[in-house]
Amino acid sequence: MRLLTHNMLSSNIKGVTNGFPLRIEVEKVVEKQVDLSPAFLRNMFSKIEWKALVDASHSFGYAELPEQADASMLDSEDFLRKFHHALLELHLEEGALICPETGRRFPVSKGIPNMLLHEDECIMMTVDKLKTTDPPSPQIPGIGLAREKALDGYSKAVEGIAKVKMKIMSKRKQKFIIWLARNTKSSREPQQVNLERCTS
Amino acid sequence: MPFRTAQIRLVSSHSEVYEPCDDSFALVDALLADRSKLIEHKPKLCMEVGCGSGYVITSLALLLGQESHGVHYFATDINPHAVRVTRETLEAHGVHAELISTDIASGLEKRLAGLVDVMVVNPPYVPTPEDEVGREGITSAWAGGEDGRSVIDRILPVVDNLLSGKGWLYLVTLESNHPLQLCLQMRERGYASRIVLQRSTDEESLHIIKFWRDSDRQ
Ligand SMILES: C[S@@+](CC[C@H](N)C(=O)[O-])C[C@H]1O[C@@H](n2cnc3c(N)ncnc32)[C@H](O)[C@@H]1O
Repeated sequence: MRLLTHNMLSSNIKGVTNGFPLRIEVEKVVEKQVDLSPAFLRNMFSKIEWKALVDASHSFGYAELPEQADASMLDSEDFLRKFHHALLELHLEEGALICPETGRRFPVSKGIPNMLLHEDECIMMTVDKLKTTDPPSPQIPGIGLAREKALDGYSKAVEGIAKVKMKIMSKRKQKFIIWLARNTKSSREPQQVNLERCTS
Repeated sequence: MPFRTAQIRLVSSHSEVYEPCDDSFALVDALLADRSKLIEHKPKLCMEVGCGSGYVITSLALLLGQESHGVHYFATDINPHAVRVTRETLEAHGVHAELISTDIASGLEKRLAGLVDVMVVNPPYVPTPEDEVGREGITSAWAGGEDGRSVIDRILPVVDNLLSGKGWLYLVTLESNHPLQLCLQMRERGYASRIVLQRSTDEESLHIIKFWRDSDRQ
């Protein structure tokens, strides 16, 4: 992850108003040489939150950027080179991004930030619908458990068969068959699978 | 030298990641056909939502060139395996894109708004029951809910927000997604559109639609 990307990312958690900039937790930084394009830098300069870039580059141990910058500096080759280096050549390979408001940690692994949220952190639509097909809570715990186990076994078997099929079929055919199945068959089988999915 | 796109033998794979298929090839063919216009367009930031194996974003990067041309790339996918596979595919071709595991462009929407000049999307478009949408792993690669539109309908407003004044969107759709209706909906958001490629396979009829803001004369 380049600092360009860090400068474009904010915390996406529901309810957070001040999600920028994300704090950086550094485990490993790598440097990769990138061809300098003055046109790109000149164009990007006005879109960059300068202080966030300076602070982020400090956390990477790079202290060459001036605290303040304005567009007139873009005529200086020296400035362009430093701006280029901080923005594009330093990568966070391992570490994390921290939401400044909630402290939520977004891991960065193999240079890829993971901004995926849990259900309770964002507005999800499909899950509630699923829950309505839940089996009623069992009166006798033992029986309920057996039923769940049976369903579990059933669905594992279905998934097992599906996996083997996947290997045999091309992805294209596989997609089509699933589409066909969903559109022609009664909803009985998929529903059973769903039933298990929300109990597990 | 012929125009290069990603080489299938260099595209990385994983059991949970969508492999390049007819739809991926159709999208890259549409980009190839538009290559000279894309180069004239001089995009600075390009982006793919739902990058899967990385076949499309790698091809785009090979078509338009890298940093020395002043072009930068972003790609996202909701499936973290896909994003890692994309990284391998990009590296195998010696090109770079900034990658993020996220839902559509969540986390980028505030700061990247209005900055993307070219967006490419091959969404999960297969009509499926609604509760299949957004599942973990490979299912999310194709499950598109009712009319295959669930994810597409969530992506379009995000794309509208991210695209720059001169921004273009290339979108893969299926006949059953009602492409004409999609064009009319985007019309209301101020976009003109054209079907740049239509291809029927044994199983489906694919349309690649290009959208651009109506004020921007092509
Ligand atoms: C049809 S595949 C296309 C993959 C690749 N772009 C290609 O053309 O070969 C759709 C991709 O979108 C991803 N996807 C599905 N829902 C998504 C979402 N909400 N946000 C981001 N990516 C998503 C899937 O994981 C999958 O990789």
